[in-house]
Amino acid sequence: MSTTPSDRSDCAEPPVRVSGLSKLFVDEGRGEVRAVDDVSFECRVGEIFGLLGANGAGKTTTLRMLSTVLAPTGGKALVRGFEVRQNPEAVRRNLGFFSASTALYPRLTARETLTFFARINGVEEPRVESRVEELIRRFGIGEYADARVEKLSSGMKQKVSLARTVAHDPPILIFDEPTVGLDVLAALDLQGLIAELRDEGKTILFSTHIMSEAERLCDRIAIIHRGRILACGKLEELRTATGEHYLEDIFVALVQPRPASP
Amino acid sequence: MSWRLLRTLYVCELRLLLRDRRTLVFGLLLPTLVLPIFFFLSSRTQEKQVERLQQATYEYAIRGPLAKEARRWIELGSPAHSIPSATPPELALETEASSGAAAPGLTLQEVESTDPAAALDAGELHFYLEAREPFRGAVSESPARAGWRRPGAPGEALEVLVPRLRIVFRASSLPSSTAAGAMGRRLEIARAKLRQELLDTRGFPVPLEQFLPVEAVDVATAERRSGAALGRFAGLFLLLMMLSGGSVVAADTLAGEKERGTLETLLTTAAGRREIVAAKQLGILTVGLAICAWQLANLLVWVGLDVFPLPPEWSFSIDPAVVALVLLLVLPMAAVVSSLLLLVSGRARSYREFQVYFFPLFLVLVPLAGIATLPDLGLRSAVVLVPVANLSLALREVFVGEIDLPMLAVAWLVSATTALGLARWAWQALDTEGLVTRNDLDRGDLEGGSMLFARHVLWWFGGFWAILVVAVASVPWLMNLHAQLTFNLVILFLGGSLLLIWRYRLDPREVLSLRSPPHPTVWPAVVLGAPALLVGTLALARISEWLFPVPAALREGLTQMLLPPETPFVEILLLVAVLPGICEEIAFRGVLLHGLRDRLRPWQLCLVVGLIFAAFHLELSRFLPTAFVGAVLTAVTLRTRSIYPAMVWHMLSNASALTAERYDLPLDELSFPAYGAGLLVAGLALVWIWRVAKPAGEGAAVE
Repeated sequence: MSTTPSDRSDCAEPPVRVSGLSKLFVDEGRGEVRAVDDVSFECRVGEIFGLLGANGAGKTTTLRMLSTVLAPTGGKALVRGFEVRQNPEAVRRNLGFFSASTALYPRLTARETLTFFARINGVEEPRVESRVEELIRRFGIGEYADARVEKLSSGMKQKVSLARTVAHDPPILIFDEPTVGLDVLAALDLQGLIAELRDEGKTILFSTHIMSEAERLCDRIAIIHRGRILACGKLEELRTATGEHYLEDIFVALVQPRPASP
Repeated sequence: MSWRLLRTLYVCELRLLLRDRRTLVFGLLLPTLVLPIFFFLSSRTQEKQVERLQQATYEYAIRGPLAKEARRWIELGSPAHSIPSATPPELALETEASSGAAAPGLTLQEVESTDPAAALDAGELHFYLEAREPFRGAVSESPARAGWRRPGAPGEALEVLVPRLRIVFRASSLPSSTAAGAMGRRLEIARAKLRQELLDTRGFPVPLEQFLPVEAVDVATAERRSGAALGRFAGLFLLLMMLSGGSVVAADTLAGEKERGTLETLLTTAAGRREIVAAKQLGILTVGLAICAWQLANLLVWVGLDVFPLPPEWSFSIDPAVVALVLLLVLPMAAVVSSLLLLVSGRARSYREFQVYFFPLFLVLVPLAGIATLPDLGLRSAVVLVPVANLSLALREVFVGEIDLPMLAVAWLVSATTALGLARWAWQALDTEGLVTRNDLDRGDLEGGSMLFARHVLWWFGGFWAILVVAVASVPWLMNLHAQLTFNLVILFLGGSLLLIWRYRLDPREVLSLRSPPHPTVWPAVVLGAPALLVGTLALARISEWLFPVPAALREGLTQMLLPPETPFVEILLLVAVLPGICEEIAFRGVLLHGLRDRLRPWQLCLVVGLIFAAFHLELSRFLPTAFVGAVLTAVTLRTRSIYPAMVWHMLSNASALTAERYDLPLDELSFPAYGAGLLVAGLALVWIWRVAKPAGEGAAVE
């Protein structure tokens, strides 16, 4: 296990490299809020890298900085070599962002949604139609492809949302608490699709506060608390480092360390 | 700018808008139906009402010692009474037109009443006449007519007995007013007949109408008159149509997307902020212009169907060059409106917040577009630099046919540049993180109390301002020195400030900066600076009065009303200098400044607090100097970290102005060098305060 950026022995150039990333909010009389504090990690090709932390730990802020919605106040984040502040549009072309808060246009049909997102993410015009059909087949949304999104169930919406995230076939995917609000079966379905994407060689950043989800999906996990990464590594490495077996216990051990014995 | 991206986003915007029932219902359907229904019903109601009033019988009574004479006068003025032979034909026609012909069915019927005043109150009478004691005068000769007493022989001086008539009616009742008006006209006819007859018998050489005849000749063509009438309201109509359609779209386009969460989805795609903003603005612009065109066509259809009857002399020809010019002028106006709406939508986090921001925007834009209704205000004035207002005036001049191309070009450029600047500002709103995403940690929400105050302070002051405006506009007794001071200063400013301190559990010492200034030499600088700044700001006052002229009589009247001469000067000093110095400073340099302190830089604080301070004075012609003084007082408070210097400065400034007014010191007649000298002395005083009130980290204070 390591608490610093992982070693790069098994991967030539990690698609996502984050070093010393910080986010300081200064807002309306609230003073300074250090939401992300000197965070560093790397994500490799074909792995699911999990950010595990409680609500307000800084997961979403970190991922929003990577997707260029928020600007970092310190540090550096590279996505396929593009720096988030200097080349935000190039960064966004290379990733797909999915979160519980990224909604779909309710008055578009599923097919129109996919066509729209394929186009604005730079899919060449002659390829748009075939790409949309491919996505409809792949995610099994053919039955309701021409229904308006506002008429779909939560599970159907999640599938359309996932399909629009990969509409331009980006090499990097960011999933921010994707299963929030889903029932168990829909959540399992979504986890299966994410695992498939990993198996296709996508680099996936996955944030969650659900331990079992992280345990089942993530190849490596970073535990984040109060804006700082406390530990980062494979589950086995985390177990070894903390002496705990279950991820929940590992998390508690890192977040609330017992005082050292005299 | 990627045109492919822009097209994709724009098409998507239009598709979303066209599928939004609210856009269709509120932007198109409602105005399409409501306008004709409203006009049809109101014109029908008015017609029916006029018909009813003209066909009715109105009852009146006469009281007083000369009731009998009054009846003769009324009879003389009635259309049934023959016109005296000497009356010229013009007068005969006029009297017929103004009485009988104008209201053929209207009947005035006298009834008996023992107490006409009570009967009028009870609604049993429409009015009553008091025939009171006569005026007495001497004439050399008069025909023997009713009401005329001839005490002596012909050729001798006659005593004329004319009853003094008073028509008592209730203006709150339309039938009563109508009946009283009809009686008034009837008596005027009687007087005209008598006057003419008297002049005839005295041998006046020409009929009265031919004596010093004045003829007015209107050289404006019917097209020009119609153009002037249309042009006065064209800008306002276009603005209202753009706002009605554009606001629905704008609310949905950014604020709505934030609320639904689709904006964040969009921002994580490869689309750039610029393309997103441009597409959304084009969407608002398209819908705004489409709704304008639709409503115009709607109006023309109803005019064609005679649901909206045009004035009888209406004449308007469509010249292609004028149409092209109008379209050219409408474009920047639409661009400004759409940019403003987009900006408001960009700054709002939800529909609700958009509505809150939209209302003040509406209040600002409507008077700007309505400026064309003011007579004698041309485009060749300072208004050419005011967006929207300049285009509204430009439209009026184009409709009238007075095309001033250089001024039209300036107006066009000013508004187009403003639209671009506003669009850029809206684009920046998408880079303002707090407006796009909710921060994960929000101490204000968690802790409430004083942490929330900074976020709420502007809302509170907006509320205070609205109360002030409504109160001043609707409560007449506030136009009095004591009432106004009690309401504005004590209730609103002092009471409002204490309410906020209590509501948010604020520390009064901290909020109001209740501490001594850092150095005693601040005081002489204040004593010197206050009157000097007053003189200096008179230059701004003159500029302000040039921009927003106020008739001298109105200003004088207000001064008289607010500063009654019978009030002792010491009392006026206490009320108009000391009290505002305390209450206004507590509100503006205390509570408001404290609330904004952590959100803005010092220069921004001075600007914002100064502007809000001026806005509360509700005097457009004094806006600039008041804002300037407000900004200076804010700077003094920020630098000294004490409210007391600003309080004393404020009191001395007001007291100096009052003293000058009291002793007729000709401050208004000073020259610009004198104003410059005032500003120089005030500037030196401020520099001194700046130096001696250095914060601890900036070196020692001057000893």
